[in-house]
Amino acid sequence: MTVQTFEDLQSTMEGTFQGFLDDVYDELDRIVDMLNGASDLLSTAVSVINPFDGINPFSSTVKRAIDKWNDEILPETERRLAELVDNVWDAIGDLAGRPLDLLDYSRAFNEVKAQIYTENDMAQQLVLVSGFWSGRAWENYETVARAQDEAVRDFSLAMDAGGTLTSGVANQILSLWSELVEEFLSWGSDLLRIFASATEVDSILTFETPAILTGAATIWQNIIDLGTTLTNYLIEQATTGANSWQQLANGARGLPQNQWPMVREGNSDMINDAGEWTPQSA
Amino acid sequence: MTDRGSFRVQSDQLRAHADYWTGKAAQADSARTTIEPGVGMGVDFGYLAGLNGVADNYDEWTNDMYAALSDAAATFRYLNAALVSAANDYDGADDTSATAMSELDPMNNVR
Repeated sequence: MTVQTFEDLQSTMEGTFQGFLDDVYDELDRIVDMLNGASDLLSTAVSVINPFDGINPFSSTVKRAIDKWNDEILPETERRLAELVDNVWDAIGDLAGRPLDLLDYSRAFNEVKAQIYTENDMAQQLVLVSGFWSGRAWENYETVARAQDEAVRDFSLAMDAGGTLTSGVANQILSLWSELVEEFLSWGSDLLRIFASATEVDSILTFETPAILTGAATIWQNIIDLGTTLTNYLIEQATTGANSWQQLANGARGLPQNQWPMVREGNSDMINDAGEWTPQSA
Repeated sequence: MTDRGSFRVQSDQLRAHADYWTGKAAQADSARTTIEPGVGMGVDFGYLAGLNGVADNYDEWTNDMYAALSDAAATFRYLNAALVSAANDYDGADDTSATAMSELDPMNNVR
């Protein structure tokens, strides 16, 4: 199953939910019909042959099965389903994001990284310029040019780091979305199997209500784990990782202080002072 | 203005080198356009990212990078202008060939 956008996830989960709920209620209706059928049969039999239904084992079984269904299984199932629907939608909200847009941003950062800096490009330029220019003006210009080139390199490194962090979150979100859908489908099929096993009145009495609860608790725990996985990943990315967003945001990585270096006034004035120039001999 | 005519050929080379910075300025402008759609879009990381600092840090970083590219382009254009001006000044072609400091300096005042 491919889930690439939040709209995909919503659509998939809505469809999955609706199909699942339809299947569950079909099973519940079938069980109710089965119990009603048994009850009708019992009423007919009692009215004809047996005034002592209290000692009729079949009567007792049907009555206990109906009571268990009405008092225990059905309300608990409905409560658990409602709770699960709420919880899953909450989890989907927590896992929301726009990973495909994030991947676009990441590609943009990587594109800029590749375009803006070419190693040794400036060094080669300066070798050429040094062939016709010397003196204090040249020395100041060379210093300024190298500083600007370093800033371009640092900016390129920042783009690389930002691109990697951005695509990392996008891929993590996409992966967890897929897991969420798989988890839910897996649990849904398990639950339906439990209901489908109730084909006899007797089976209602031994019906594994705890299995429903365990199943719901398990799926919910797994969904919580998905959110926890994403949270831990995000915390690592934000602050604690060796390459964190925090380091990029405060300028500890990439472009120092995240500010482009100005050309100092003194350097600037020297570069522009023709009196400080010494042309190289041809 | 002193005529330093012997530097003519070499000052032409300097003007040619000044074009390097024009190209860098164009690259910075292009980069700015390229990253613009993602600037300040930390909300796209989702709810949990907002809670855990990723979105804010991303927004701060992208806004800083966007501003840095603007400053970079301005600085590169200044360097182009400064080199051309200096070459003109060195040639001493006429009194107006060098760009006045009062015009050059504000170009460098990128922050």
